[in-house]
Amino acid sequence: MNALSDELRVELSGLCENRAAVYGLLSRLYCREADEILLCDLRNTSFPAKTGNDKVDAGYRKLATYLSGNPENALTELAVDYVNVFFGNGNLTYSAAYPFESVYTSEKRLMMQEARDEVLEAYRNAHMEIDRSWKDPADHVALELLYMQKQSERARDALDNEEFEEALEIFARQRDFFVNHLAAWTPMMTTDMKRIAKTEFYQGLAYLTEGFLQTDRGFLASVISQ
Amino acid sequence: MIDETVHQLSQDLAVVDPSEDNYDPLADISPEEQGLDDSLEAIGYIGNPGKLASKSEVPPALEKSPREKIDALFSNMLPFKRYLLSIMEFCREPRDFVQLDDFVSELQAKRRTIYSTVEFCLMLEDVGALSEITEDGAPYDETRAEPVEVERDGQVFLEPGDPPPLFWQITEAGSQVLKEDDPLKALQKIFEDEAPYKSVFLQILELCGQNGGVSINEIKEKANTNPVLERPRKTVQFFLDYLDRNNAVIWDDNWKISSVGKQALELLRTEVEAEAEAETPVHPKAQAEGETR
Repeated sequence: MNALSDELRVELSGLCENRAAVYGLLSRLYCREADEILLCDLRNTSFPAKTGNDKVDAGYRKLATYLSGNPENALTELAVDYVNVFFGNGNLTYSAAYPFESVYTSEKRLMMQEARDEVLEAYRNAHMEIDRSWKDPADHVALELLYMQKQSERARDALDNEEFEEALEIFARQRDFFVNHLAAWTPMMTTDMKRIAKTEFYQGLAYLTEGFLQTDRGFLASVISQ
Repeated sequence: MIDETVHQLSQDLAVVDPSEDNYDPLADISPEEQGLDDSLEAIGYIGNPGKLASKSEVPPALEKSPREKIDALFSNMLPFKRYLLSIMEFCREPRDFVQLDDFVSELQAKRRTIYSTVEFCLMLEDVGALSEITEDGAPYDETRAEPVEVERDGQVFLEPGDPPPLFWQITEAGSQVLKEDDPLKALQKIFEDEAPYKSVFLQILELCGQNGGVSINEIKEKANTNPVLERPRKTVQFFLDYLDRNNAVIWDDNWKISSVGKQALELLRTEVEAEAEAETPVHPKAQAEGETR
């Protein structure tokens, strides 16, 4: 990456900040069920209405619509739907949108397969370590999104410090992780989510995830080619 | 003969060369081998489960009336039936969340449950005993708020709208259930069904009727020695649970008799005394004197 003009550098840094924020939001929504603090924060959030991506727009609209509803029932309703979507309520292997890459990329839909080892290696190569409080496998979608969030923040910092080579390396790492992992399986998970989720909240999350990852793929391809 | 038998067996049990055995019990079976219709489109899964899913037949849902659903809820939530009935009674008038929450907190002041106000309300709403309404009495779902579009710096944003105030009120089905709820009648039926143990019920109710109520240890100490509890072996807790679930006794730092329990006690006392009198053998001379008179 050649040296950028100040204007472009600041714009790119701002974009990385926004990307980190969205990755962080998605990671939190997948990590565990919504609590009172999260719902309160979301109710005070302004969601972009026209981002240029139909799926992102649909996702934000569904989230905003759900959050316009009665707050008293929301916590319980969302807790029930979170379990319904990600844990399922049956013995069939297709009764939930399991948030683990291995389930979608292994032949027998099992957890803790090759994908988990590969993402662990990716985290280590980026000098990241999973906190001991995390009890789920390393290829949980929340962790993979968190990885992208952290990398986006690093890219922002590198740009702020005019470390362009470093920023380019980070974008390349993000692109590789995206292509080898996130893009390979999340469309299948979000398809399942749309089939299973009963609340507009988790329906919206599925659309938002699909649309945002589409947009970010385009961003990474474009910024690296420049 | 033996040679022939051995020869036949050796034909039947030919040794299979392991290296030639390609059988893999865990291998996926191809769609062709399964005889599936290739015209069905896959939806992007490993092994195309979409094809199998489309062939599955979901049986139609069993439709139950609100009354059947309410009865099923009470049956499944027996220890909490009194809480549910109390909430339904409280909701004869429309109640907002704060009023309901205060009421449920008071109900649970002496006996906490794992269920919150919202959870109780959602259970009752799910079975058709309560409904969500607006201030004007209209069904709540039809008046859901939509997000508000706000323009800032040339960009349009969606902000969650303010929902209209929510109230809960009992439905017709719920009112019917309350009307038919008769704890005294239910207790009488229990006393009939558990006839050999009437003396145990009587003992427990009398103990709970004492000033200040009675502790569980005291009930156990005084009533567990009742001979009817020996075979088959039962403990007083079993009978106390019956009385508790049917509102005959309440927990208020001690087990105390309720107004329903007092009525049940009187009825039971009368029954037990009548039965004791019926069983008392009459002296022949006394019987004769009685006949002469």
